Amino acid sequence: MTAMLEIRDLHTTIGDTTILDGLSLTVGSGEVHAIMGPNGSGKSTLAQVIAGHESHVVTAGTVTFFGRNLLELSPEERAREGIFLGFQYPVEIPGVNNAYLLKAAVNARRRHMAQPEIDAFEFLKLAREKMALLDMDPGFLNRGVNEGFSGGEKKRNEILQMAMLEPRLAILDETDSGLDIDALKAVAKGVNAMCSPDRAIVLVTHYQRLLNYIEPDHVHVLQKGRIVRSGDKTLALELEQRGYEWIREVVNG
Amino acid sequence: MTASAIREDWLAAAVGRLPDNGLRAVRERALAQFAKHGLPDKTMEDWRYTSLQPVVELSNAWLSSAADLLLTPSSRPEDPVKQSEDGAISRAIDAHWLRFLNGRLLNGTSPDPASFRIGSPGPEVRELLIDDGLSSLNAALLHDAVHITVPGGVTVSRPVGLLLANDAAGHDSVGMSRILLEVGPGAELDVIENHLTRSAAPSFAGVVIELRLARAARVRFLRLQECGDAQILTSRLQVSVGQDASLRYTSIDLGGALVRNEVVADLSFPGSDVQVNGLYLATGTQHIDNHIRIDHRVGPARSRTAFRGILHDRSRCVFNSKAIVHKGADGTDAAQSNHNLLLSDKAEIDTKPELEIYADDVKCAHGATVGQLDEAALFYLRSRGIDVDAASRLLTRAFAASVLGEVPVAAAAGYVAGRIDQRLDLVVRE
Repeated sequence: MTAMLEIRDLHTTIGDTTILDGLSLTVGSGEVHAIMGPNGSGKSTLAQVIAGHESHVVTAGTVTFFGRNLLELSPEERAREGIFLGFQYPVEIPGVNNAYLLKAAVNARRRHMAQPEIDAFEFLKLAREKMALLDMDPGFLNRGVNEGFSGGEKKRNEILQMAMLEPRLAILDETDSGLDIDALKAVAKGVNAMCSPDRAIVLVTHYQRLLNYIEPDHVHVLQKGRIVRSGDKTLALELEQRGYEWIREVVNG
Repeated sequence: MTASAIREDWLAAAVGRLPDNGLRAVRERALAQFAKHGLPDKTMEDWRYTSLQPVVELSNAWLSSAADLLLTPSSRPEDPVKQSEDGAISRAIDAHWLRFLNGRLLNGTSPDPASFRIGSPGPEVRELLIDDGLSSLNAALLHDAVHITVPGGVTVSRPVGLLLANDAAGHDSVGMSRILLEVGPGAELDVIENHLTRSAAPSFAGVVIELRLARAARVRFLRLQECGDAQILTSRLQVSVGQDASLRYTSIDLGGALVRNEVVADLSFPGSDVQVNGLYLATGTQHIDNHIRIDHRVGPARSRTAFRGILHDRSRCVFNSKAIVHKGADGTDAAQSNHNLLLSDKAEIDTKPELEIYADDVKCAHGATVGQLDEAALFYLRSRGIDVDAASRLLTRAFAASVLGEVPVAAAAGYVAGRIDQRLDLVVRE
């Protein structure tokens, strides 16, 4: 069976700097993966390369999504195929209405799947339902995208977008950073509600804290652009106790 | 030194042929002033980036050939909005529309004299503002000067619309308008100044509006410029702001070949509050120049100037705003900003928000930015499935939207948003 996401020996550069340096990873449907690692290890780069950010140049390796070469697709095509990136720093876009973006995004994906567009009533109903789950004020729909949102509100808004778009693969980049405990719980609740046999979730995180609320099937440790260790959820706990220095020692012998 | 100038002998001859309707003395004074000033040229700091050479050429061609044809009363043209689609705004917005064609007022009676009056030039015509080359040329060639007064304490229920159309078809390629607007103490008025063009031939319109706000008067003012591709427009709004009076002004430039818009506000009384905002969209070889000057002569008083520009293709825009805080104008609060979006590497913006401060106790800020579409925002939208063209349009609209939120004449907001959208579609698609 073809894996959902198959990354083989991926090398990328930004400017003259190599970031990913032979990274391989396989993610199957229904799985929850956590990618951990110290700052600068390439975690966010991995998330952005999968989403199609054009500042990263792939110099070697392959990335396939259900067997299809992902690297030849534009960011918007990837999104319509069902890949979602939850941003570490969601962008504020004053003047673009949050509801407008949500609806346009949902319809772009629906058109791509040859489904009828969502009507205004159905859209509002669905959005309100998802917002209630995330403990979000419905007033956020009428504001500019992330405009003036607090850190926690921005992250909830990312999860709201994910919930509305129902992606096949969700990559959540440092979704836990800067969240207080209530926001963290709300976000985790939103993510857990999304877990399904047809969907994979990749959590990119520096700390183990998020994994107290979202239980991963697989944990990977990234260092210097490659995965140096993989395991189950106990690996995250071990990392939390022993620190990334421990991995460095283990890897370097 | 300019390469060429408007032929003063031809100008004098044309002025001599204008109807003797009480403006003769002021035209003669203007002619003398024009001889002194001439048209401004690029050696002047305020005209460094904008050349009026096309005005010289067009005016000379008109003065030499056609001026005598159209200066006779028999050439008085028909109502510009009856037969043409340029009446769209007057159908879309419920206002008292005053229709001007090539500077001549076509319907000169107020539908509601209790709330505002329209007068022919009275004794005040002697005081018409004539202080530079353009205002001199404007006054020298005036057919009429229109005087609109709002009595004290009156709130005019519907906006007063100035539909300023130009039509070069009947050799009428040059037209001057002068409007005096006096708003009495405590009165409230909404004004819409709409510029449009009916013919494809090159034309030149010069418009000067003198707005006087008495104590505690409140005016909301929208200028919507939708001239044709071959029109040259110079427009100036001269405002004197009374004590505790306020002006909310937004200018929207969408069309025109060469456009110079000037707003000059004089704040000589305490408690005045002036907001001058604007948006300019330019593409092709359009040249749009906005010059704002605010004189803070006493305090406390407040002024805000915020303009945004979207430039495409080989268009060129100029923005200059100057707040001058004169000696003793303590308690002044002045801020200016100008943000520009360049959608083409051949487009050019010259921007300069300036402050000159001669008082001690003031709060002033200014800033300008020039940039392209925000790459991070573009990627964010694309990562949500929005294709790159749609995402660019969305961000361009969003950039303009901050001005739309401030359209001062509520009745016009929807219409203006639609016109901006239509123009943006054209500008962004190219």
